Amino acid sequence: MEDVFEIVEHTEGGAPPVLSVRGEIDVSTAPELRDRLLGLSQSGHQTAVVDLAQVTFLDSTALGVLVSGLKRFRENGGDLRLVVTGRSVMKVLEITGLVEVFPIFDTVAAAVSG
Amino acid sequence: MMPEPEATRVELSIPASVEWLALARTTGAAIASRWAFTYDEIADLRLAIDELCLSLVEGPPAARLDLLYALEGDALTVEGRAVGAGRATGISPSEGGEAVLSSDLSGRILDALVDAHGTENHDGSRRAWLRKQRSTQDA
Repeated sequence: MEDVFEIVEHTEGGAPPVLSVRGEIDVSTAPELRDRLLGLSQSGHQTAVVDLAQVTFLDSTALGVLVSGLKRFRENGGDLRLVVTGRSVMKVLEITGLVEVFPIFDTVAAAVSG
Repeated sequence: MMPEPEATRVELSIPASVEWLALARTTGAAIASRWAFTYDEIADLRLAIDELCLSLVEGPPAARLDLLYALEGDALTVEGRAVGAGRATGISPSEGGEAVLSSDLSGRILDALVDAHGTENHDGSRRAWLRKQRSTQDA
């Protein structure tokens, strides 16, 4: 069975908002992530965190959405930080060279602190 | 050489829309498991098959994707064809440059995960294929 795709947003005080994603991010679910990132950027957040700890699958469409989000946040003087704990997600970031592009953290707490 | 499985060819035909790609990659993973690929090889194939199907549905709308999974020696080949004239594939409009970026990343993923891959247009239909060797650590 496929995991149910879900994005939950957490924001505490003045800390960067966190989008915790669960399930598979592919061409059919990546647009929702794109919309959520765009919404955070348009509502004035300079930096955001995407928690990929519960993501079980990630393809090139998902990576394209994350890189576009990263560009947008950096253009506004901020950043897009990732939380990665799973081997499969880390492998995709490594083979595409994006592990050198994104700030990557082991925990949400570390990513929020920056 | 591992014992030959009871079947070495499996065919799957799915609608050429994004909602069905999960079935193509899940089927590929199940077949690779049955054909004694390792856990890591199965994970690689799952992603590679997704990227292969993406390359087919991102072109002109087709009616369906015909997929053939075949074991040849110790290599799994997956061949996909976009067949017939279809409607919209369900791909959402992306931001400027995102589609080009995703396509570039897709090529890098396939280069890293499989032994060979390619795409071609033939008689008005698009074809994409990949091949991945399984490890033979049981020797």
